[in-house]
Amino acid sequence: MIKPPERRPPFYLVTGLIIGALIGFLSAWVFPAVAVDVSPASLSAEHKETYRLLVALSYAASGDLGRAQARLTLIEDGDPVRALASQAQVALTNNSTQREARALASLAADLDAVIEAQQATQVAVNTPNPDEQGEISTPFTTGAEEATYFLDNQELICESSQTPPMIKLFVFDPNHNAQAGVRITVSSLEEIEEFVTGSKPEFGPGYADYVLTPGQQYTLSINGVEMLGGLQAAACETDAGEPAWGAWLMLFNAAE
Amino acid sequence: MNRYIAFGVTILVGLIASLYFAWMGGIANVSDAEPNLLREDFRADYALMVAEAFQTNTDVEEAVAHLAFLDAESAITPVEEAIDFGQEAGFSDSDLALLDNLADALVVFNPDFAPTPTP
Repeated sequence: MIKPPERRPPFYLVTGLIIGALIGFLSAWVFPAVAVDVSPASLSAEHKETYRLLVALSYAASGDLGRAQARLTLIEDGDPVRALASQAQVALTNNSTQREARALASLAADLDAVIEAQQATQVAVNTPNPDEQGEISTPFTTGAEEATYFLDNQELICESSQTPPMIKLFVFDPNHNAQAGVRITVSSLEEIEEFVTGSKPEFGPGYADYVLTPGQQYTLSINGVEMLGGLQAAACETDAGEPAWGAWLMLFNAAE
Repeated sequence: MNRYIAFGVTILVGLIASLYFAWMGGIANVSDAEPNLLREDFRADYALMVAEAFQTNTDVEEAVAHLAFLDAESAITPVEEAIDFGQEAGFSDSDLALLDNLADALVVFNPDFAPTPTP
């Protein structure tokens, strides 16, 4: 009786794959890949510091915080404020880099203020006022007519290349509750527009917005008191690097 | 003979796969890249930052020192590249003016920076 030939698994194929992989990894180790077209996030720590410094110096020159913030995002620092502040402290120790230190510290402080304001706005908009719970917020039931306000924060935000230039404002009462029914007047040489906060309740009771016409200068008043003049549409750059119209985000607080 | 061909093919597959993962993984995790490897738009934005800073301090030597970061042939090269890129990418007129202003200042500072006229 003839015994049929024994069929053995094709181990040589596995051997071939292993040999190929070993040669490949060895080649990649000897000839490592050279990255091209990298982003600032891929730079070494030392070069990131130079990049961060230039962001601060250009901000010191232009005052464009939105652009500086977008540029810092490219570096992908976990905490950009801390990175700026640490670098400023190091620069402070050297007499020849005092200007750089001031630029870095100034950007750190302004960025910190904006981030805090954004967080405060988020909290204020999303937190219901215990006194108002159960009531339907209506624009004309607040007694805001007597209050006087001050501009707590103003910044240019760059949301999308599709949105028009705007003013977005939030008004808060002395207890930091969003306040509906506050009379806002936006005037230019060509028009005068009056509206109240709270007419877009999806954004919160203290919210109001107004679309600006590029090239026009506006004056903003609250309850007939002029708060801000020379307001204009401002161009900016989105995080994606697209040119866009910015929205002026303003926070007004009622004086106690 | 077929076994030898199959063996050769598997070596090739192993080689290609390992090279792909090693090189791609290495590129994806680059954390110590040199600035001259920055993408064109980031280089242009860096040159724009130098131009913005130059606008207020008008210190050409400092601008040249900052531009050296990009490790170009000469200080004016990244500025000219940024102007070309900016015109294509739609930089604002004010940004382009800043870059032009810096390029002019660089040429005044060192005439060798002037671009060689093409015949």
